[in-house]
Amino acid sequence: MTEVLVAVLVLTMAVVSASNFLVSMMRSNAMNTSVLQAYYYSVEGLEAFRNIRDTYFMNYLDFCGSGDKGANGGIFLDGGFCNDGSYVVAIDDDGVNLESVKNGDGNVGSGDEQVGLISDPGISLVAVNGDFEGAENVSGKKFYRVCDVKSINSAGSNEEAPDGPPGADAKQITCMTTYKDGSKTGEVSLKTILTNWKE
Amino acid sequence: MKKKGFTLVEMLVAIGIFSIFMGVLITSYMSVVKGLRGAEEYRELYADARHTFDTILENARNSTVYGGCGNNVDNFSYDLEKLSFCSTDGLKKVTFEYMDAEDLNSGVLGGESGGGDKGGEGEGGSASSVNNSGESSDIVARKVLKMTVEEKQDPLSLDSGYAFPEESILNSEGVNIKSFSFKVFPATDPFKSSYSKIPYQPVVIIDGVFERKSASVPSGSVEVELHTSVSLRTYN
Repeated sequence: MTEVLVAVLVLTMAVVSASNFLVSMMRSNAMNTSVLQAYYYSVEGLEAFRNIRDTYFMNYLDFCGSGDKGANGGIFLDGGFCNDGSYVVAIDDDGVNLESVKNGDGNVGSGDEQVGLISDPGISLVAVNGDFEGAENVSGKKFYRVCDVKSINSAGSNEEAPDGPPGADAKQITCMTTYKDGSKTGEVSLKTILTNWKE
Repeated sequence: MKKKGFTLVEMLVAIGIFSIFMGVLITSYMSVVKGLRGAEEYRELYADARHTFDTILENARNSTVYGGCGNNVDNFSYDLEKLSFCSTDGLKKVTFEYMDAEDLNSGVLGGESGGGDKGGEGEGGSASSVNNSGESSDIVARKVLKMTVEEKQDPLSLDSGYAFPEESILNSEGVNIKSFSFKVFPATDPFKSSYSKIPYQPVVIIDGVFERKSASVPSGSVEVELHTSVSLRTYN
């Protein structure tokens, strides 16, 4: 009798734990809403940088926006993403904001530096530095997106530019969106390389 | 001589143990089935949401919303429920329209108004790949995103109008699009005379909330809210 009871107990425990594992695995698969949302936020970040680069390119300017802007300088970012560093790309009803955060909370405040503003078409961009832990800047309280700009050699090499001014050759843009799902934290990171077409 | 067999107590204990074991087993099985169903519901929701967004992004990247595309270029400062993208060569126009399923033409994905059998017509190109739920939705007032692809009747004539429209629905039958909007920056055509010296890539911002009926959550439906933007690579 005892043997039967022990056997049933062991079997029951095995079945319950196996099914619980299965259920939790399926639920975690199902709860990937945040991953999908974060993916599109990261796509949006890369698109913002590409948009700025292409606007420079179409107007015969380099990464730094150096060159003759003519009478229409208002649509260009003053410094663009000439300097390597971390940038926050915030997009709201007024357009795109790319911000350089220095005060560490991820929100643009007194210690932060506005890199540039494209006000006429409704797009602006600011840059930030610091620790972004717990910062929230996209979609209310849940998501935080930061894009890192790093100077690299052209032709897709990941090596940093050996010399010369930052951004003279190509830029590697990495946009990472982090999110909190209850107690869990996740991130979606996308990367692209933008070349300086003027070189 | 002692008779072989079980006593009543032994039988009762055995049945009791067996019942408890079966109870645990059935509960676990039900949980697994419920979890599978929930995962499937989410999977369909994600597939629809992603398919819809990716289709729009793919068409938008190599297109423009200005010129003879048929959009109201003075209306870009508002959230739009309808937006057309024209190819660089002007030969193809793709229009996305957020609308009630009831307002669809009867020819668009047959059986749309009935909410049940699709009739196996197989039209709709890429859209048909996600229209496979086989379930009707209980979500009242189902809204859809219609994609219309048109081509120039005569590619060699600049005055030729668009024709041969092919319509399809991007979300599948079990998925309702709770809200959807486009926003375009700049709000006015940057390639018009006043902007003509400023080549610039306009940005289209896309917001959408997708929902699906679900028995796996207390609220009865699951939803996903997506947001992204895309630069239009076509400029003059």
